[in-house]
Amino acid sequence: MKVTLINPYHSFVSSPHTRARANVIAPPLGLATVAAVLEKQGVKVDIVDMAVSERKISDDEKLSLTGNDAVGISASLTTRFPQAIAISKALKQTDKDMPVIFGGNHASFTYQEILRKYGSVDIIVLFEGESSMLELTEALSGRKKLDDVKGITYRNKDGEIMVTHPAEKVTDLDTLPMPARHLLPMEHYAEKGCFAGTIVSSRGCPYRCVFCSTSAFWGHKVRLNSVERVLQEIEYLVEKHHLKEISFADDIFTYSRSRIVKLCEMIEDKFDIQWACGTRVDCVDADLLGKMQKAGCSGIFFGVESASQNILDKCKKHQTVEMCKRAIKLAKQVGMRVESSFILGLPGENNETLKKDLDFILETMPDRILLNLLTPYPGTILYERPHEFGIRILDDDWQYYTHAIPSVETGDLSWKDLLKARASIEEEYSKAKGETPGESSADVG
Amino acid sequence: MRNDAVAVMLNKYPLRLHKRNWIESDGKVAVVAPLGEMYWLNETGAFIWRLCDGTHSTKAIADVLAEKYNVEGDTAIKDVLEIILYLEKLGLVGLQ
Repeated sequence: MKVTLINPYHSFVSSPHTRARANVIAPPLGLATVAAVLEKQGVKVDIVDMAVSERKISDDEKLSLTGNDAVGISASLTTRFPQAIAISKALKQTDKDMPVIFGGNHASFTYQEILRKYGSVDIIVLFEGESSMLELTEALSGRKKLDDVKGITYRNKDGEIMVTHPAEKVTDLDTLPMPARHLLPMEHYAEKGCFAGTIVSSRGCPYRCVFCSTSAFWGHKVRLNSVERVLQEIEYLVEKHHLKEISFADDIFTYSRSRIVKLCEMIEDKFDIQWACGTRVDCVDADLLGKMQKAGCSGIFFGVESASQNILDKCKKHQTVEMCKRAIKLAKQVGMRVESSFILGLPGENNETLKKDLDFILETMPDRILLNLLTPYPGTILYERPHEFGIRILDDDWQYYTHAIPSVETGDLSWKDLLKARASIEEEYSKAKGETPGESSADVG
Repeated sequence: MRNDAVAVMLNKYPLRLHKRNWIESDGKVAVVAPLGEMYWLNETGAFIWRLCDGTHSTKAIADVLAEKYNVEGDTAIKDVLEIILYLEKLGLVGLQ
């Protein structure tokens, strides 16, 4: 049995700016973990990362992958979905019988639409995919019936959409093998100015923020890799790939304080690395941040999202504005580079709340701000019930669901207002940092 | 740019790729690229940007620019090509 897993190209990766590139190109660890599980059971696997190789598939292209029994395509990121479809069509052009399997967040939340609209997609793995993909390879080898494979959906012979029993989530993440990074072109990520040393050490989120689909996809229970396992991955990246910078891509890296304290002690003891992570503002304190900094943590990301308590409450973010201020202040005090994100256009957004965002930013002065426009991804409560929150979704042209181009309007703000707010906040922030406009935005013409 | 490549470009019709990624504020134009970078266009850039509606060829845009700013045709062509190619590279306009 041979399977090729494909990570699609990002349509806008040709941007010459390193920051934009770095945001969209990283080793596809989800695919690499599926690959590792399959390899462990004797399946031959290849990974083709079209994002890092910047291989865009055009509408009328034919794509041939010889010697394969199935192809799995990541349809995790909404913006890459059009390319995932283009790949599936290109494959079917050359071999209509090749089973094409989709998986990931976007595919899991929009599976009905995909199977109805696209004949080039045969099967979709729903949610966490390792065990389902393994069972699927057994079914495709004729050792199991397709409807006995848990956690998939497909069209039957009559064209009906069938959904099998849900697969169980992996309870102990340490039982999963390390991502099969040996199948990835690891050296190319650094060449492109992107982080090669990424690690995901947890899954799940106990919160249900209305703009986020993490808990809907991974579940509300947080599952953590052990400290030993995280160290093993760091060691692999340091020894095998000579990396000195690690980025933890967990949603709430410091969810378990005791795990991080122990991890920091071990990192300090064993490695000379710089690392960065993202977490919630209520999952840090001065002592913990101090330990992290001592262990090489030089950058931290906080999702502030709004400086309006009313909006935070409406979005079920379960954090206060004061907590956000304190976390940024403490992280800066220990010498970390702080990045904070804000979402413009959340439920209840108006000119007054946008002013609060600006005031917050100028007061706390994170080292970098990410001003995202609300983007209602499939799987989020806002996507399911926008009217309940006074949000109007403007279109579902998925390739533009990048946080940068307005895709919603609120009761008080048009898309132009949101774009103007972004421009104005960015300008004020640049001024406060003492940057000329050209440093944060290009002057063209 | 070679002469034949210039000739091809002049017959292209630049088109803004998204209708909701730009605003005008105090006479200036701000454009957001799909990955988030924001670009402020200067007066010439903004003038050209407004004409990238798919109905004006690159040559026509250069002609209008030359007339408005009273510059030589070749200078206008050079400026327009430079800006349009840059905007295309950023994923902001397509060339039909």
